[in-house]
Amino acid sequence: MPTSIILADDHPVVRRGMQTLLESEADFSIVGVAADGLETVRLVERLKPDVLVLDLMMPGLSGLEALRIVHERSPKTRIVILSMYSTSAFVAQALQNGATGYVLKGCSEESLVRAVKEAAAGRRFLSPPVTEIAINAYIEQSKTGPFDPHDTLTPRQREVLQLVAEGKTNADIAARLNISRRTVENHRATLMQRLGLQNQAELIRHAIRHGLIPPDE
Amino acid sequence: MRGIDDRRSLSNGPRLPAAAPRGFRHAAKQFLLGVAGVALITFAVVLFPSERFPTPGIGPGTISLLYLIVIVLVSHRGGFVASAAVSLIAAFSLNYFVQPLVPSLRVRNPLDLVATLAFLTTAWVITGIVARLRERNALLDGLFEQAPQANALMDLDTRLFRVNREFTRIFGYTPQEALGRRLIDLIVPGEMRHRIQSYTERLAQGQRLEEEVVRQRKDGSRLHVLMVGAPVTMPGGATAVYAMYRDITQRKAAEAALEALSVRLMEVQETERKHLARELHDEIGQVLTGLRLLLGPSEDATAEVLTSRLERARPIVDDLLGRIRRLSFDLRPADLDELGLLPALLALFERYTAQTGVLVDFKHQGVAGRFAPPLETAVYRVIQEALTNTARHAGVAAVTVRLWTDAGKLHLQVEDRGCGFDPEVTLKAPRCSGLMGMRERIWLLGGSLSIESSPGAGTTITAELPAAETTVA
Repeated sequence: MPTSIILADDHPVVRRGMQTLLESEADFSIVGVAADGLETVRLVERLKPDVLVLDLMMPGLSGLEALRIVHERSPKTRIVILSMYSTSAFVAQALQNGATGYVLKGCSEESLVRAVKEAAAGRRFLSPPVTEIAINAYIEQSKTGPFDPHDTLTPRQREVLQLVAEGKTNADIAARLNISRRTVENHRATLMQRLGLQNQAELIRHAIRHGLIPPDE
Repeated sequence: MRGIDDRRSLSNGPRLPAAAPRGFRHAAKQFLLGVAGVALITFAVVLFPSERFPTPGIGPGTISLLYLIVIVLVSHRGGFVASAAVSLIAAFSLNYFVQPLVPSLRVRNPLDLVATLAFLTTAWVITGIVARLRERNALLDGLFEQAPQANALMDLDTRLFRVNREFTRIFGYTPQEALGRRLIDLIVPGEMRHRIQSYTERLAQGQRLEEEVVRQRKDGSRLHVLMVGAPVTMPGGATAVYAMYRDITQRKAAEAALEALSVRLMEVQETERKHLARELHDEIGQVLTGLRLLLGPSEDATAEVLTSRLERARPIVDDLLGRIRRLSFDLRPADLDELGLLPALLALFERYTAQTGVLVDFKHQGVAGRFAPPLETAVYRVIQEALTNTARHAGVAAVTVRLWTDAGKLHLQVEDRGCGFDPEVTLKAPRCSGLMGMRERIWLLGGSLSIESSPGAGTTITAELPAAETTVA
């Protein structure tokens, strides 16, 4: 039994090109074409094809949104994304929304054919230059890492924090760093706020925790 | 002198001064002066030989009139208590010293009731009138003196006879320095003096002036003021000029800044268009021309030649696609609109590292959702600009970007350990549109941006913006 396919792309030229390409494969059967997101969703719901080849940028309903809805309403349909965008962000988002394959527009014809075949078999396919490694790295990066507000202090603010923790007065610090007292006060207020510190005691605790001053015996 | 001082100190209070309640010492002094006056008149009369009475012109009536003058003076200056006391003494003196000298007078009543009442009534009425006048004067003085704009009264020759505190504050001239001198010589810059003539003419015809003009301070510095002038009739009928000035230098500066901003925006837009036009024409246009030549007339070409031409055309098309993809990304990354700030930034860093070789160490917290589009754009562009500067000037292999939310604010920080610069010097350079542009973007969204850098010590750019997350991705 041939693989049933729906093509969704808003550009007639691209659509015709793909249709010609895919129809030349013996075991592919194009059962429908759609020119916008809403039409795609309706068509897929009705025909429940094996594979949907979906353009990521379409009028009406964005490709990513159409992808999410199709994946929800016709979970057996495998989806191959066809896109102008090669950034990992798009690929990762598409995979997260339920895509099985991701093919760049303008890459070789074989890629698309292969992506559809792999998708029909239930395997993931990413066309070069998109790679699994890049996607995984992207997903890793997009996760919130350990974030320490202390790292956001500027070198000057660190100097001020160090001296405040050592018990120096604003006047001392101003003289030491060769800046005005007003500037010291500003730095001090900013760094307290940034570190979420309320008073001198909390500042000392913070300084000890970060090894700026030795803990009291 | 003291009276004026009192009034001035009182007018500092929240209420306008009522009839100035002067001190006990002042009233006592006026009382004593009044008593001295009464005593002097009485003494003069008593000194006269008694047979001279009744001399035409000087009799008890005249003396009562003289007493009344003293009482009026005390009422005017010393208040009711002092003048009432002087009235009683005057009545007493009339009874005991003056009347005995005039045997023909029929009324001989110790403490003549009529005289006493007349004197007391006079004292009361005069004190009341004086108090009310003083109240009105104090109100008018207060309005003039405390007005939020500079006030000046002058004659038609612009000679000043009154200025207020705000006038001193704005123009630097104290009343002592200003009064009696011509306004035109004090605050009108030399090259604008010829216009004053027409002002004066219009004012003399009863017209009002309202104009934004440039004036100068005592120290010679210039300022923009809104000037309003109107002719007023002074007590006595002379025409004077009442002029008001409001310092609008700040507003003018803001207007100028806005103007400069829109000029720069237009410049930037034109530069972008020029870049785009060049890219389309010189790059893409050229490649397409080559492609057209390659795919040109082929009636007599063999199948082999055609195939080889197509083979050669393919990489050219791929190249074109790449160029257009890059151009589109440069103009406006689709990631930013479709996916949001975090994915767009990750895509930017990926591309940045590929192009420049500079690694981006990215730390973020609480920024996975969507924010208002102007905010996402501003943060994206500021980070992009900062990264471009780092690659171009810092000479480092890695840069740290931090993006975090905290108490309704979005913070961004781009930090490198590169060669740094002196922000004071760089920001003043005329061609420093990048840093200025960053500032303006952040500033327009109600945020602030600080640049910490010094030669040899790296650069840290930190910005914070008020931010509400719109949806959570």
